[in-house]
Parts: sequence; C-alpha cells; structure tokens
Amino acid sequence: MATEITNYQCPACTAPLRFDGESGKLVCDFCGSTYSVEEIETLYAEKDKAAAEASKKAVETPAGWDTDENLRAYQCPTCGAELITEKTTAATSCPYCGNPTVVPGQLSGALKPEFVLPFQIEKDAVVQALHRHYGKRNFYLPRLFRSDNHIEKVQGVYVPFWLFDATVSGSGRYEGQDSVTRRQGDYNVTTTMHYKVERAGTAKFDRVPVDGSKKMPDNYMDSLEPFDYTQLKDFSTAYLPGFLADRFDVSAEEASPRMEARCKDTLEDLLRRDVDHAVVVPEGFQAKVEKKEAHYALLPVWMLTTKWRDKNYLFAMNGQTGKFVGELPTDNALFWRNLGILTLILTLILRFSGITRFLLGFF
Amino acid sequence: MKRLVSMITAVFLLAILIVPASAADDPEYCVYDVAELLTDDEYWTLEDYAQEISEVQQCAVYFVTVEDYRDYGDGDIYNVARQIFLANEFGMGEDGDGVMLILSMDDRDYCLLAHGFGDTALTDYGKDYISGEFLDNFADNDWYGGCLDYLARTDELLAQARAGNIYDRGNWITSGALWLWSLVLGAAIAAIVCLIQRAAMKKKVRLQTGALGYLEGGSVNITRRRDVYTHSTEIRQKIETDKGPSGSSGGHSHSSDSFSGKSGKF
Repeated sequence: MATEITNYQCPACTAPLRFDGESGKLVCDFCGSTYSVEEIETLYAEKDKAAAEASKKAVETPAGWDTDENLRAYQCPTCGAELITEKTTAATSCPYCGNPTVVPGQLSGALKPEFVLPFQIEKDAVVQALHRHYGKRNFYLPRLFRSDNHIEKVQGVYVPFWLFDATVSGSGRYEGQDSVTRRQGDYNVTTTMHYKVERAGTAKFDRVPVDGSKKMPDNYMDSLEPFDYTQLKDFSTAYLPGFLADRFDVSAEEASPRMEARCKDTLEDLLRRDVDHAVVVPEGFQAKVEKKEAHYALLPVWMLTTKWRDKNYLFAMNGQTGKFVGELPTDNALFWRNLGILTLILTLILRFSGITRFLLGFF
Repeated sequence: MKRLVSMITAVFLLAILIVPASAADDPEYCVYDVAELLTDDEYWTLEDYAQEISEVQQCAVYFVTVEDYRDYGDGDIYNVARQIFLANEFGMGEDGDGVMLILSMDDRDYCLLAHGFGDTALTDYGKDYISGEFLDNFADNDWYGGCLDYLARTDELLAQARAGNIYDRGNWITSGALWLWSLVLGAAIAAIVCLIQRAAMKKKVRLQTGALGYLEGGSVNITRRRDVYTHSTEIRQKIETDKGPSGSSGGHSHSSDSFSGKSGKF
C-alpha cells in the first residue's frame, strides 16, 4: 500500500537525507554522501507521485484522527509510527525516528507552489544571529536573558507566501501653496498663491509578498523582507527534507487586500511627491488595482522561541538573507537605574560646563 | 505755568546747539513737554515724581516730548537725543548720570538714552524691559500712564543698581536655580535618550505599509498633472524698526561717548 509520506533516504546507506542550505545539496549525515536536488528529484519522482495519489485518496475517505478538521494522521514509512500533524503540514520530521518526512500530496496539483526559495543559512548560524540580535546597544535587555541560553526551539520553516504582481492606478487632489515675501515701506508683505492640484498615474509592482499562513504572525513575516527573488527555484519537494513546511491556508484572494493597501499607499506617496509646491495639503486620494497575478512560493524562515519570566518571546530570521527580527524583553529596574545614572551625569555636566547658565540666559 | 515752561524749554532746546548751557548738579526741570501732551496736573505730578527719583537715586531722569526731533539736531533720534543731553549738560554729578526718554510726535519716534550711572544701571536688557512697559501706553496715546511706567521702572532699575544688583539678562539665575534647572534639563534629556533606547528594542517587528521596494523600474507613469491657480492671499507684517546702538542682548551697547540708548516707534 502506498504511503502518503516520502522519506528522502540516502541511496548509498538508506539513512535520512536533509537539505543543506550552505551547499544547496541534500546531505547524508550518516555516510557523508551529497546529492544534487535534480538527482533526488529523479530518484524520488515515482515515490512522490504515488504518495500524492495516496494523499488524495486519504482526503476523500478520512478516518481516525482525520475526522478532526485541523489534524491529519500519517504513517512514517521508516518506523511505521503514526504521525499526527496539522492539516496544512507539508514537511515535518517523525517524532519517533527523527527522520525528515515530506507529504507530497500537500504540495501537488492545485496546491503545488510555483517557486521555492531554498534555505541558505544553517541552524548554527541562527543561534549566533540571535546573540547578535541581543546586541550591545540593547541596554535594557535583562542580563540573565542575555547570558543564559533560553532558546527552547529553533525550527526552519518554509512559509507559504503569495507573491503578487499588480498594476495600480490612482489619482490624488491637493492644495498647493507658494509664497513670496517682499518689502513694501515699513511692511513685509507675504503673498501666497493657492493652486488646485490634481495628479493621476499608474505603477507596476513585482512580487509583493504576503504570507499565506494563518499561524505565522503577519508583522514578523513583513519585518523579514526583503527576500532576494533572483534565487527563486522552481518548486521541488527535494528542498524540504530537514525543515517544516506548510501549505497555504490563506488564499490569494484573502491575502490580496494587504498587498493592495501597500501598493496604493506607495502610489499615493509617489503622486504626492510629484506635486511641486512649497506647501502641499492632501485633499483626497483614490486608487484601484487594475490587474494582479499571484504566484505561490515557499520562502525560508527560521523561527525561534524563548521563554522569560513565564512569557514567550518569538524571533524570526530570514533563512536567505539572515535578517533577524523579534521583540526583546526589557528589564524595568535596569531602565530606571540607567535613567538615574544618566540624569546624574548630565546634571553635573550641565551645571559645571555652564550650559545651563547659557541656556537660561535666553530667558 | 506748565505752558510757560514748555515755551521756555522749546526756545532753550533750539538754542542749545548754538550756546552751551551751564552745568547744574540738580536738574532744574525733569519733564519737558514741548509737544504739549500732558495736562497741567499730569505735568506737575510727573515733574515731582521725576525730581524725587533723581534726588533719591542721584541720577537725573528726564522725559522730553517734541513735535519733530529733527528741529533740534542732525541725524536720527538717538543722535539728536545725545546732542540735547550733552548741550544742556543734562545729568548729575561729574559723570553726568542721567536717563532721558524723548518722544517725537511727527513720526512717533522714541529714544531711551542713558549716560553715566544711568548707563550702568540700564543695560540693553533693562532698556528692553522699561520700553516694554511704556510702549503700549504710548501706542494708545496714554502719555501720562506711559511716562509714569517709564519713571517707575527706571526708578526700580536704578535702585537695584545702587544695591549692586544690576538688572541684566540672566541675573536672576542663582546657584540653586542653576542646580534645579540642570537637574530638570538633565532628567529630560536622560528620559528622552532612555525612552528612545527602549523603543528601539520594541519596534523591530512591524507591519509593512508600503511596497516601494517592489516597484518595477520605470513603471511609474503620471497620466495627469493639473495645477490650477485659484487665488492669492496677502499678509502684511510691520517691520520692527529698532534703531540706535542697543539691541536686546545682555550687557551694554555703547556709542563712543559713553551713551547708550534704545530707539524705535510707538
């Protein structure tokens, strides 16, 4: 019986393979063999197809865990254990044998992404990046948080993104003002010319990203931009082993308003900048998306979670560029201490440098 | 009586550039209302008040009104005021200590002149303070009220100077005030710095609002540019015409003959 899951195994020793971001190849950690994506695609084409077919049938005849609309059950082809995953999971690892597993059925047919941006940064570099993110300038980061290793989980995730191509047109109304001042006897006379200004225009946008995953926080995903799209590859499941991957659960139509708002905002700014008057008062703007096209892509993101004083902190890293984002905890006691010390130092400097006397001299 | 004094004064002031007047330790008169702006009662009240101040402070305080200062000398009102002061040997004592306010009605010019101890007591800042008190009265043609303000404020600054506390910019600043303000400023700057530092830790995660980075090169096409002139508005602002050597800075601004003054329009 065909399984819905594919385990990419080393052709030499049958140990699990994982995609290595640095080399861009699939690596066997057991025997050290490496394989190109194309080689593995060719080897596993039949297996993936069979798994996708099996997955299709399983959706039509759900049973057991599958009756929960948010969960799906699979059988690990390596150890035979039952894997319970979220409905959208496309790649994970078996909690029993640890082998990377891919669910080709989640990423085939209409659900197949057009592109994948492979990971280029390895796990070790992520932890180093987190420590760099703590930084020397984050003065109010609790010392214990900085020194202790609080990282609970580091996970590479291929996040589903919609990349929108769009053409936006719009028009804006403004009041423009230009002033001239001249001397007339004992008076300065300022004459202001008022103009009714209109601007209209169009702009094209390429691949504006909007994440298609409900469980990924939008602000984190937005903050990871930009991704270098020149590295986009045609989608292949061979890039997934060793990482988590989800298929989209936010459709292109549902994601579109966020893209439209961003493009309209940019066009509004462009039209406003085109108005050449000393003072410009916006009076109205309207825009519409003339045409749009959505591309489905999986983009690489490292997710890290830490806990500090019973509060979870989430960090994310662009798996391609290394851009790191995430809010850090602040130590209020440290804040007040630094404020007090700085106040004391500044008070002494102001008092004895004569700056205060100089400033007060203006009153 | 006041009319008689005014007539004598007018002749006197006209003659001063030809025949120097004799020096006097105490001013014979302090108020010379040639432009006849004051009533008799007002005149004598002000005259008595000015005499009293002059005597107490040992510094003559004069108030002079004329129709047109140009009738009494050459140059601007500050130079004419100096010529009047010198030629009449105004002031008291060896140094000619004195303060004089002259109003010229034709163009509504004024000049506040100080000499000797008057110059020491009335810094530029002090002159600003005094003129700030009387100008609003004169602007409303309240000559008596304006002169009263002038005399009162001049008396106040002369008294302060006699006590060794010359009224000048920043003189109110005591050591305690310096510490207090240093603390306030220091705390304010420190709070701004610390809050910016703390905010920097928070704002690293945010939603994007624009898509400028995804704009296709050369794709922006402005299809309509329309700028239609609708109307004009005009604002007229009177230019402050402060003349004379003093500005509004601290200390004193002197001409070469130890006079200082502030002039302008009312």
